[in-house]
Amino acid sequence: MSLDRVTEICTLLLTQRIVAHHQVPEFEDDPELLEEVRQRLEAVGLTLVQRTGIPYVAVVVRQEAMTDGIANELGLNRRALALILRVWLLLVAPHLYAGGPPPPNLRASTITLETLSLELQGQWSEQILKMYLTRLVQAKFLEYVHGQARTYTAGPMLWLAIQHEVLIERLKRAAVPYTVARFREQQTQQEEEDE
Amino acid sequence: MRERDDDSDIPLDDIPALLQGFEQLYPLLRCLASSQDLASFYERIQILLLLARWAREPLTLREMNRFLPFPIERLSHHLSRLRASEWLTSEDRTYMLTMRGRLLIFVLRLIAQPWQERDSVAVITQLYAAASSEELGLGSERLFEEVVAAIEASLRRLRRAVSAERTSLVSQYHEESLRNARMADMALELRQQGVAADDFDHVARMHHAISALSALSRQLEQQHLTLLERDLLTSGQVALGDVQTWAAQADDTACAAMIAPYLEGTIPQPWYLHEGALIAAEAEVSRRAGTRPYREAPLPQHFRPLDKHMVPDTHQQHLSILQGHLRQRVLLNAEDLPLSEWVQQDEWRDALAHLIAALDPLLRTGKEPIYLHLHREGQLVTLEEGAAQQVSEGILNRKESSYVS
Repeated sequence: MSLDRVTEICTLLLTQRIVAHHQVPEFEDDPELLEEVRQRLEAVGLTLVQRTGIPYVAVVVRQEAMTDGIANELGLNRRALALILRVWLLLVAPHLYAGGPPPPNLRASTITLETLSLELQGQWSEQILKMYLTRLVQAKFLEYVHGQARTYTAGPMLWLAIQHEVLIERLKRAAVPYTVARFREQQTQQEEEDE
Repeated sequence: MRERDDDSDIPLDDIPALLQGFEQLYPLLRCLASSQDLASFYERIQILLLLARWAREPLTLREMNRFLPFPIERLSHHLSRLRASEWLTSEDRTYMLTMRGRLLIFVLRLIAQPWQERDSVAVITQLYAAASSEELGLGSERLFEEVVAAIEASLRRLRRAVSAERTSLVSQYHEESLRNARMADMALELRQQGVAADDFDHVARMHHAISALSALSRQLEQQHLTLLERDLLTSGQVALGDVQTWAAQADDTACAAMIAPYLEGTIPQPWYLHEGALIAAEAEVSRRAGTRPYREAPLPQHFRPLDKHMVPDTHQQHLSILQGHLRQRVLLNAEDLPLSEWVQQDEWRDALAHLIAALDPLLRTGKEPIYLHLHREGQLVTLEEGAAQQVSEGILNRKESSYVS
């Protein structure tokens, strides 16, 4: 194990926040190095995040290390959070909702500015939407699709920085009234057809 | 075709438990329907309807024959059968409906109406109205007492359903509670139109029952929703489409609150940093930082017309009024403020320019200082809080985050 390499990887993580697996091949082969990186990050309140099927590692702040001051500095505002949820529902949730693994190509799903604008039902101006999309690209929640203007795909943070399973469970609970409404509508439709 | 009037072939001994109480109806209805001749059935109904409508002296056989289109011999035979089955009173020469007869005709009238599904309230209303009019000879007091007792019995039964675990059963009980509450309300309303002096006990009981029924109904509704949620979640029937429908209906605040607990915070980047913190850092570096005392939000201002010599013309006065309106909206409105209505007309755009000059010093004070500028294209208001932050498309947005000096 090379301490210099551990330092190098930590520096890379702290500056980039997220790195591809191929940039740190030692993580696969050298469990001691991986453990050393983890320990160094944990010593300063950070956690290395890996998820099955996602070819990236990220560094996030440990929940117990999160104070008001840190949360304030890290915090995305209301609109940014809302936009993250909406793009997550369109780009990530279709793959994970039924409990399946992430797709081999994380950039398989794309979304255009126009689709998002429709999704938001015109409540956001195009300029505001573009501004927040740019922020999410900078924060690596989204990526531009090369050669396709105004088109976005999921960035690594959209796969790594969200606790998908618990979020899906909570969303299901929130959506129960809509499921009930859908069933009632189907029932009414069926009754009308029977008549 | 000869009528088959022998009733003895229908066994009455072996009555299922579910039908107990109904057996009293069998001899009565057999009298009407046991005939294999459909014409005889219609003729007997016609006789009963004639007697139900007859409001004068009781009819004799011959008088009835004038109104009915069948021979007097058949009429006599029908009358004797109806009398033997207690549809008619047993006076010698005249014929009247018994209580049972009146009830039967009333029920048949109810059934014959073009009811829609779930018309139970209308049925009970008709029933009660008929009782109140004494058409049935029951009297409203007796019927009201029966309704109170029935509602109370239903309440006792429904109370046991609150702990039920089967969703469909709880749903059924919930619907029943709603239906009974509507019926009780209706009965009470009808009763109160002619309440008797000594009937307050029953009315008080009904009020109490309605109140308990409403509370129980809410409890059952909640229980039903809880069970429904459990069923839907365990059976995996909540589809992604339902979640997306929820998201389409939810506002930004609800969406943000949904994801915030499950989003990992990562190392801050410059674009995450609060603008106020950036400006303060920049000021500190450039040694231009100074202490700036921020006061609490200014007290509400009272506006009054300016003296004439201070208002050179009506245009200026109009501008002042517009300034006052917008200022109030900016300071008091916590939500976004659409500016399209202000900037579409030249006069109002000018008002904005004047307003900003007047308002800016006020907005710079307080906990959340705001700086206003009119955009050079004249369509927008540029809003700054510390570092330059353009807010466009006609939305004047009070910043969400607090200022950091």
